Amino acid sequence: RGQGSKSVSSSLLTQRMSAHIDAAGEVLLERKGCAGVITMNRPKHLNALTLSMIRQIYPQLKKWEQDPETFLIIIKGSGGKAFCAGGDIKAISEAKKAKQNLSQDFFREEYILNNAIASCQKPYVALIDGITMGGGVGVSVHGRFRVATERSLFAMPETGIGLFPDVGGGYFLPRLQGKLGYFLALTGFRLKGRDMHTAGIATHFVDSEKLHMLEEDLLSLKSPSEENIADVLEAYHAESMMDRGKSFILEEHMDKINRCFSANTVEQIIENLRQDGSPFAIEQLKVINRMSPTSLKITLRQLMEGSSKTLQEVLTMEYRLTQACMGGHDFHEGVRAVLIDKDQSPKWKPADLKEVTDEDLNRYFKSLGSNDLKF
Amino acid sequence: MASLDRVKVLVLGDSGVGKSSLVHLLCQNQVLGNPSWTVGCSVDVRVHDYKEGTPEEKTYYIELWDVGGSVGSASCVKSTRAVFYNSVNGIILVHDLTNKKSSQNLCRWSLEALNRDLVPTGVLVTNGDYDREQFADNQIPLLVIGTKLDQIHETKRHEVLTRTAFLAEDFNAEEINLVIEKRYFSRENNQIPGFPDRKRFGGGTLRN
Repeated sequence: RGQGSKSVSSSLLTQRMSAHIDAAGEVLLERKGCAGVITMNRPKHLNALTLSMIRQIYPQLKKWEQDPETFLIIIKGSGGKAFCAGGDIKAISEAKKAKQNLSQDFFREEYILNNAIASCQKPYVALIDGITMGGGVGVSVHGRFRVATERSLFAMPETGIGLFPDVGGGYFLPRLQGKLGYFLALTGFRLKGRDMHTAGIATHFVDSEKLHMLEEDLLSLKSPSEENIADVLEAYHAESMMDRGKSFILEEHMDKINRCFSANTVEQIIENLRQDGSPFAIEQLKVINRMSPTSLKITLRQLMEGSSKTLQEVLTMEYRLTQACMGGHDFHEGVRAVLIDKDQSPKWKPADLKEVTDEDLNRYFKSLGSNDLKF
Repeated sequence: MASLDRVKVLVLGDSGVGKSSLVHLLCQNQVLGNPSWTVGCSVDVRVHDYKEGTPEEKTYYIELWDVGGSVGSASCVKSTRAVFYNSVNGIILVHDLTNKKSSQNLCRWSLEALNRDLVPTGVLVTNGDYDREQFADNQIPLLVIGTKLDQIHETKRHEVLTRTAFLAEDFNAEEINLVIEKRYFSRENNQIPGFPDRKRFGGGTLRN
C-alpha cells in the first residue's frame, strides 16, 4: 500500500475496476475479491487456446503477481464442457501452409506462459472442470493447485496428430508414478475425474456442483496465505464422496505398465507389450500402432531427456521439436485426418518405426541457434 | 398466409420404444390408438409459437422426422438412412425405460446422425472412444426422452431414472421421462388435457 513506483500504482488503479473484458471476449480477466480470475471464453471451441488469448493472459498474470492486493490467481473455462481442449492447432497448421509465422510465435509465447505459471509468485488455482488436454494441461498442471471434478477428462493425445506431448509434458510426465507418464504420452490414454487426482495431474477433487461455492469461498478470503487457500481446497476435497471407493482405473495394470514401458526404444516397448500378451497390453499395442512413428520416437526421447531437466530446459527442447514438426509431414497430416476431415486414418510418413532413424531424431532435437527459446 | 420458417427435428431410437406414439402425441394432440411398425421415415408437423406472448413471438413449423430402423443395420442400409440426417436443427433420442438395450443404443443412434452432418470445429483430438469427448464438439441440441415409465414398478423407478440421468449427461442433453398412460384411452376423443388444441396443417406422413 503506497509502496512501489508510480507505474505500479497506476496499474493498481486499473485493477480496482471490476472487469476488463477484451474486445473479442475470448478471455475474461477480472479482479474478484482477493483474486485475479482468468476465464477462457470460447465455449463453442471448447476454450481452445489462441495466440491472442495467450497475449492477454501473460501480461495480466505478470501484473497480478506484483499487485499487493491480489492474493491468488484462478483460471477456469466456460461452457461447462471443457476447461481447455488444447491449443488452436488447426489455425497453426493452416498458417504454416500459408507460410505465415504463427507457429513460431504461438509455441514460443505459450511455453513462456507455461513457465510463468510454474514460477508464479502468487498461489495459482486451476479449476480443471471438463475436458483438459494439450494446451489446457499446459496452463494448469504447472500451477500450484489443480482442482478436478467428476466431469474432468485428461489426455495428452498429441502422438495421434503427429505432434508430441508438449507444454512441459517432457517435465511432468516422467515425474508421475512409475512409467505412467510414458504410457499416457505414447498412447494418449484418457484419465477421468478422480483418477486425475490419483495420478497426480490434479491436486484436489471436488463435485462439479460444488465448484461454484468453492470459487466463492476462495474469492471471499481476506488476505489469504497459501495455507489458507490449501485449507479451503482440502475441505471441499474431503467432503466429496463421488467415486471415492472406486479404484484407480489403471491400478491392476500398473505393474504391466511399469515393466513394458521401461525400455529405451519404442520398438522394445512394443515387443514388451506383445510378449506380455494380456488383453490390456494387446489393446494398448493396437493404440500405439495407430500413432505417428516419428511422434512416438520423439516422445520417448523427449520424456527420457526431460526426466533430468529443469522445466525451462524442457521447454527449450520442446520448442525445437515444435519447429521441426511444423516443417515435417506428420503434423499436418494428423491435423487433417483427426481435426479437419475427421476420417481418423492419417497416412504417416515414414509409416514404419524402423524408417525413423537416430539421425532423423537428432535433427528434431537440434538447437535452433539464435531462434532458441529464451526466458 | 405468409410462409413459416421450418425447423427439422429428428426422432431416433430403437424399434418399439414409442417414437411414432410420441410424434403423434406432439403433433395430433392425441394418443396413438393403433401403433404399427414405421417403415422408412414418417414426418409429422407441429406448428409452434416460439416465445408466445412476448414481442419476439414467431410461429414455426416443427417437422418431426421419425426415422425407423435398427442401429445395427448393415452399412448399406445406414447410408440410405443417412439422407434423412441432413440439415438437422435438433435431435430427440427416444429410449424405452423398460428396455436397457434401447438406452445403450442411443449413443450409436446419435453418432450415426451427428457424424453425417457435423461441421468439424477442428478443436478436439478425439480417437472416437470416449462419450463425453464425442459429444463435446456438438452444437445441435439433444433431447433424451424415456418412455413407458408407468410400466416400471414404483420401487424400481429411482434406479432406472438414475441410470438415465447419467446417459443424458454424457450427451450433454436435456432429459424427459414420459408416461403415456392407458387411462387416457377412456377420455372422449382421446384429447390430452394440458395440450392446448394446436393448429394442424395437414402434415401428412411419408411412408415408403
